[in-house]
Amino acid sequence: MTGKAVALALSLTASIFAAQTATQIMEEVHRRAHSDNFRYEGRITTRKANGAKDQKSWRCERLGEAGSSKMMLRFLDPADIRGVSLLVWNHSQKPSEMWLYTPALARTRRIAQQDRSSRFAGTDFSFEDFEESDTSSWEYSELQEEQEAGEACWHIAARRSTNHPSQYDREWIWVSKEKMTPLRIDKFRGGKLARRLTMQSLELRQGIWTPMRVDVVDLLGNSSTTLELVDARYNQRMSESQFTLEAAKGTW
Amino acid sequence: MKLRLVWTQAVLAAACSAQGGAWSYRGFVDDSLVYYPSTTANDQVQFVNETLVRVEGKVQLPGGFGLSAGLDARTDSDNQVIRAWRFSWDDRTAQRPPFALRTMSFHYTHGAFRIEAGKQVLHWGQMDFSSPTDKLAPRDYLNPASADTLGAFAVRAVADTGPHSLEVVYLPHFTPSRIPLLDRRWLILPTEFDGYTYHSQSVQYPGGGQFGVRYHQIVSPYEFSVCYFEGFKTLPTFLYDKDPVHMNLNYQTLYPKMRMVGADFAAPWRGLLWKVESAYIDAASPHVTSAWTYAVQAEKTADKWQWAVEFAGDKLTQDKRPNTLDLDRATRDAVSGHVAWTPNPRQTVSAEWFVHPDGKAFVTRILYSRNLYSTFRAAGGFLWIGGSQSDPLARYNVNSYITLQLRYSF
Repeated sequence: MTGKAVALALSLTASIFAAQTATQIMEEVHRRAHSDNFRYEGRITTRKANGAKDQKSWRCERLGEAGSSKMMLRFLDPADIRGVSLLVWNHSQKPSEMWLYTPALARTRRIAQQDRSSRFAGTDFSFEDFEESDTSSWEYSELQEEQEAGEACWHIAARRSTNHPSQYDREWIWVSKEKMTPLRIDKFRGGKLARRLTMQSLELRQGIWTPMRVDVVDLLGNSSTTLELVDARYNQRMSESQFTLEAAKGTW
Repeated sequence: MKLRLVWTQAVLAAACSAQGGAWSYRGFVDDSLVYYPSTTANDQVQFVNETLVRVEGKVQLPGGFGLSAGLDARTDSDNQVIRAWRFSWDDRTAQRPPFALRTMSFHYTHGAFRIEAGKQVLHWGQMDFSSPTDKLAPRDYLNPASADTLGAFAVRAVADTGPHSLEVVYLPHFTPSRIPLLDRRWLILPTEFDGYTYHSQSVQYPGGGQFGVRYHQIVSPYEFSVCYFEGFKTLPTFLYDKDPVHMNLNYQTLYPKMRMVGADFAAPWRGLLWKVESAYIDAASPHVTSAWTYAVQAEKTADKWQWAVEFAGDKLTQDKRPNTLDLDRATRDAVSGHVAWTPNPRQTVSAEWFVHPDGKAFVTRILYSRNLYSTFRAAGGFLWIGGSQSDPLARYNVNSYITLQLRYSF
């Protein structure tokens, strides 16, 4: 009995230590990725199981810290969706807010929280994948050491600590020990692996490891999307007024 | 004319000085073929082809200044487009002009403040179908089943801090909505006018400016706005005088003054996004009937599916003016909706419907569209109007049609 109690105590201590360490690692990941803002142009290629290919491009701007950041994403191509804009306001401990502006209709449509599992503009990203949250919105655990893409990584399991409605039950994150940046994220829905994000072609840009290519595989929908970053820059001149509903209407 | 010259010179000067600025453009060439299986009493044409070229450009100048402009060029086989080399600045003609200025405005942005002056597309309200507060924007209803918004001359100032925004709009020049032509199938008047010969006595475009103000606030996860508008109805009111002996109907076309106070609200609830919008139209002129108008909409997006259902209604708060015909009451007290299924980024099947609550009349449109290469989109479908002939809407059943459309975007 005493032996069992000691084993249980040790196990609890180990798991608490592991949980703290996983959280600390994720806090370090967020700290190293910190920037006042970020801007890039993205080339998106979506491939279906039947071989059909679809290409788009967008310009993305983000202002502020993860958890309270604002993001504006504007389509540049193809021509029929040029000017369509997605505005995201992230809130710490609260669900984010999203609006989609369609210039052909001169309309801004609010994207409800419960609708964010939908695919975004025919890509394998869902609206929810554009949300950013800080480490306080997650519980991290199951710390293991594994190899991923030839690098030594921390394998971390994450669950939302807030009761935001989400399509995902949990996430597994592989963090490069050397670069302290995620190399792979597996997202689970209903216990099944739904999406896999693989960060590739990492470049050190203005002191921040930046994946210049992100592969997203929809394992339930049998399709994949590649996002290639072009002209990625941190800490540019940006202001809050560029992230309003009025600003979403103003530019394409 | 002098003002137009000054305006054109200013635009050209801005465009020339924009060599170092950021500019972008977009546009499309759209050709649609419509086949009406039935002829009507006033229109024997069954095939109609319409071609529209729309080009829009924007130039961002240094110092927060910018310019945007949009031009339409069109033709058709049904003489609903003027057959002359004519350019229209204000788009106020009964027929569509072959060349028209859709938008042309200067804007200045400084922080949260933005002012835009010139011809622009205005939109208020939250609803997908019938927005009670959307009284600023004129529309082209030559074919009401595919109405397009027209640009209006306005000065619009907005202070948007994110959670709060205040918008003030002044429209110095009235732009009416375009209504179906007398000798075309989309003009079907109530049965009480059957057999009469119509004689237009006058068309009175109102003078003086229009003014609107709208405050919008976002309080996560809700958002709401309140607005006030004092201006003119963009859809006409007809004052008529019937002569049953000679079967003549003399009418005047007016755009009466109105005041509108409105509000809209959007909130997620029970897995759906709900929107509520209401407006009170005050009789600011003897030819307007005071009324409450309201609309409630529920919508949902789920992966490849998207749908929305709206109920819109109105309640007259005073007796309807005698010998007047208001076109803007045609869509009241109706359930409308749409559902779209996008199995992949290249294909969409959509259905829209519009039903009077008593079920006496309905409009349904089914459309299949498909991307061909990255720049072409083809669509095909039909519009079906039906119901009891006692419902004025069901009298449009002769306008049910089949359509094919090809669009090249650039």
